[in-house]
Amino acid sequence: MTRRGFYFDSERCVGCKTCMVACKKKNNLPTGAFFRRVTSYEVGEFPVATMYHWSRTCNHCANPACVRACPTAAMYRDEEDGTVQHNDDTCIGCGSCAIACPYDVPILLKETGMAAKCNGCIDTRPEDGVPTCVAACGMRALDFGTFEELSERHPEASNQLACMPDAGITDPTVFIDARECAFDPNYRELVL
Amino acid sequence: MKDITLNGLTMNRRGFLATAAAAVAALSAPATLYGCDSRMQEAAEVIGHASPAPEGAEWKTLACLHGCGQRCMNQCLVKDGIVLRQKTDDTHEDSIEFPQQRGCLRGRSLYEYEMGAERIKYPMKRISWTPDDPHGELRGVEGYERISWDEALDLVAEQLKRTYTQYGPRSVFVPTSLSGGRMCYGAFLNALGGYLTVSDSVSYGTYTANTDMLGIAWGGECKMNDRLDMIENADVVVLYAQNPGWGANGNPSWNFRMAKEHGAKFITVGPAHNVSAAMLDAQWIPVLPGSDTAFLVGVAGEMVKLDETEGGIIDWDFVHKYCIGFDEKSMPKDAKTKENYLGYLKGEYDGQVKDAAWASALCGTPAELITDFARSMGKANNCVLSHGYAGARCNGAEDLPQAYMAIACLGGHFGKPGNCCGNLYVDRQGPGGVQIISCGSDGMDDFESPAKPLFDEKKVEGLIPDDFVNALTIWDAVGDGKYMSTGDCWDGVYNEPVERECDIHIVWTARDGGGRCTPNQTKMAEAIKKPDFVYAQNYVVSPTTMYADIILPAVAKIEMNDLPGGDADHDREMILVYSKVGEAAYEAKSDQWICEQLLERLGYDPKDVFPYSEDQRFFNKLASTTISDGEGNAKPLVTITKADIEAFGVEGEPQKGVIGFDEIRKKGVYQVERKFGDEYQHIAYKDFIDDPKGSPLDSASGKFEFYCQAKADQFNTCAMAGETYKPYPTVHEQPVEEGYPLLMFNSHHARASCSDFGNTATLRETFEIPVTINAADAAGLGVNTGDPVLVSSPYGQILRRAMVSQLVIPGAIDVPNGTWKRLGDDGIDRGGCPNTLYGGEARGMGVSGYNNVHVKVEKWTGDAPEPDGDTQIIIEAADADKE
Repeated sequence: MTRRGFYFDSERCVGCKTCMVACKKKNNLPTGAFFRRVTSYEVGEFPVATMYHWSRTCNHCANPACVRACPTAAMYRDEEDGTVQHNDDTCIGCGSCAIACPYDVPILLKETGMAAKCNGCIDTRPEDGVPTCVAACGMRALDFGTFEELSERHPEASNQLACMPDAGITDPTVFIDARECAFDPNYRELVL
Repeated sequence: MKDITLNGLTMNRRGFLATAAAAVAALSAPATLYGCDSRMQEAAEVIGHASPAPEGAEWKTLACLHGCGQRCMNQCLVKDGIVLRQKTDDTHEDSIEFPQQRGCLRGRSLYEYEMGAERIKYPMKRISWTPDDPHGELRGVEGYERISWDEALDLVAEQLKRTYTQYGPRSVFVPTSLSGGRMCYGAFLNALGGYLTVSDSVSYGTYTANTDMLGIAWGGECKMNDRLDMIENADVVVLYAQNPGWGANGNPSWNFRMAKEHGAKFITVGPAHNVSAAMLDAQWIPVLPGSDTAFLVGVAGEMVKLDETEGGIIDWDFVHKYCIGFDEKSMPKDAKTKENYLGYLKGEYDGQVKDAAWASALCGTPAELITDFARSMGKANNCVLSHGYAGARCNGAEDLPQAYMAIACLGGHFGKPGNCCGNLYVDRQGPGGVQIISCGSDGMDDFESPAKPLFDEKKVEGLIPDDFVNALTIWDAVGDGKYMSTGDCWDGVYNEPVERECDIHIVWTARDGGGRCTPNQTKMAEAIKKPDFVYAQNYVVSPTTMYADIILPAVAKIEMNDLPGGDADHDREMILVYSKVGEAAYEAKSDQWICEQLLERLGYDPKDVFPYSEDQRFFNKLASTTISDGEGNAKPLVTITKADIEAFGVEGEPQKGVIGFDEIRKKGVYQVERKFGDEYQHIAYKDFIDDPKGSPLDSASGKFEFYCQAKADQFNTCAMAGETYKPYPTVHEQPVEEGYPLLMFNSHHARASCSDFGNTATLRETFEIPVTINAADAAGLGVNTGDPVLVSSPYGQILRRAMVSQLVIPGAIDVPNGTWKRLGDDGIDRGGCPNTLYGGEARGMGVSGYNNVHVKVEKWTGDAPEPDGDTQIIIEAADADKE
């Protein structure tokens, strides 16, 4: 089974959200809608406190909860590309995918009445080489590739930060390098 | 979402509009719908997908010329004038030596910002304004009506003529420093006889106070080692009062990260542990806003102590060979006292030893961290002492540049690989070192206009030489006719301040204006009601536009062929060449066209002011851009043929460069491919270190001056509030405001670049920008994250949501820059502009001390403020459909 997904280097990320905006613009998303999101967390006490960020989108899971929940198979694994894709023609806008995904990835767009999410830039990747967010990141903190490629390029990476849902639920195709503080269970979410 | 209807305003076809104190329109359409220009609408047809480049589409490099100081590559895919999507630099493979120039979230929103709902679409007049009865009391409240270009230009010309001839040039006021000078109107108003304007230290704070007297560069600029030297050779890098990851996105923080991954240890000094510091895993040395000089004097004292007890800290050879005035062995010839910095540190003049414990009480830094920092700065480490200007944008920070330089001198951190001290990676500093590529001139600088003033110098008062309105008195000048006059700090002119009177009739704002980042914003809203005429010329709404009587639509920056500014305005290793995305949208006209039309109406020949067409100016700039060979020999960058000149329709001479005229315009960038150890690897001050007599510094002694008589003489002559200064750095404690226990600073937030982008829908929903206070202070106030809080100073009040954090020093509050003032009837600013809180008397060298403002915080119990992203200021005429 081909698996493709994202790598995220939390050590390099400055939480600037350029990936979020680049993605939103590429996908022409309306107000309030984002396919990629960045959230920030604080650990420690003054004066040795610090923070880290988590930039996330669809994890293109091997065992995707959204696909399992979709009654019309609109959400499906593209076996050739190794990503999870969405078929607008069969989507009934029921929102089951959005409820099922532990990572809150699919969203319902009121403008279209359908679910929508990251497609791994399957439309522009042939032309651009990589997804838009990867090419956009000024900190070179994102990468995209097959499971094998990412395992080789980022051998220390984890799929589980303290702030993330249990990776056992969906077997996410996600690779994250992070400082120790990102594994500290005593984190507080920041509003920036 | 809510609909706000104001006096005199009606709905337009897009739904909502507004102006004013309550100038808010709820977002009525997805941010991707681009108003009434059909090109903009078609661009956003498909939600949720992007189309691959269709046949005939072309990638163009967009101008992103905003206040962050960084210049990155943003490209857009255009077909038939319609922008389909944006991307960043992909013109070559990315590496440390040859990095892509990746843009930030603001660059990604460029098309929305310049062509979206914020765009000024057609000439407008405030409804009840007439030349004879201006109804200034309705400025910021009332709506607009659409007028023709001819009507608008006639009205503006009439105002200029009347004001210049009756009241003279001092009655025409440009209420902000450095405001859009590059956009022609400086040349235009100068031709009419000049204007009164402002001396405001804006971003640079006390670094504008002639730091070249000390031996470092003016403004602390352009005297850092090359980025590749830092990556390769630094052991310790200090991020002093800066946050490049958000303030100047693009490659600056990437270069720092590369230094980190090559083994450098990072230390950050400032009131907050910011995102850049966290990314670099930097040790945080917390310092209360405005107390940096105390901290640095304490560090110097500790370095002396550590050198005595542990040894190996101070580089005495450096201190005596390359510096003067540290101790009695190295006093300068022009010294008027026998005092020196070492004597001050040891308490010989005031009985107070300057050590960690002494400094800790003043700056809030734990004493052991001061000692730690002093040890890190010792001569054994290769130290890069980088700084931003945030610490210098404080009252009482006059001696900060000298105190920071002193640390570098004590450790001998100048002129060697891996050692340097200066401003890095903020405000135009690119990747350190001297320019490899130098941007050319459009030819206007060398042109002397023969135009005669519009007024009769025998009948009305002309300009007074070196007369500039100090920033703290901008709105006193407009409202009360009184101001403190100083020289222009940006020209290095410091005169004894004098109080002067004026009678301002026109407030002139073009592409900028005093509603932006000037102090005393509550007073601004009152004072702006007084003049006869307030003019705005811009392509998008700015925080000043909604106070104007006439608003003229200028072209967007992305509708111009251009290059980034002068040398100081672009990266040393590359230059971007911007192509216009299409013809001007709506009724927009170029700035030069607007000025020429006004000149004609005032009886001038426009050629006497603007001798070149816009295409010619662009051509001149590109043709005179040069590339250096690393030894200081420059040659033209661009090859230009006779055919190129003819095809572009300009005058010029063919020349030989390294890239063709069409090629660089099509590619949109030229970047030097660097290598570690190449001929461009630059060590600042190396000439001076190799030959201190032959290559002296700009100071009186030619050396770094711990004791600088010239500084003391200037400061003591020009002090605004009677302060006294020593030739060496000393601490100036600032007056306490009773009842206002917290110190406000305003960090540069990722959402905006100063005020630019502060009104852009996508960015407003991406970041909320709360105010941030330490958990200990919040607990005392009963405030939790998400609670609305009222922040007050004696000069104004703002209402924002709070974030409670451990990442800000207790006693301080971060009210980020980039939010726009939105005053309600109750006088409370719900936009959260930090300059609503900053006012009062000018002190010291008259710098704008935005970063140590005394405030208080209270939990807000009134109606909750609406989510920040729900509002956007849009100015459209009540009769928008009139053609």
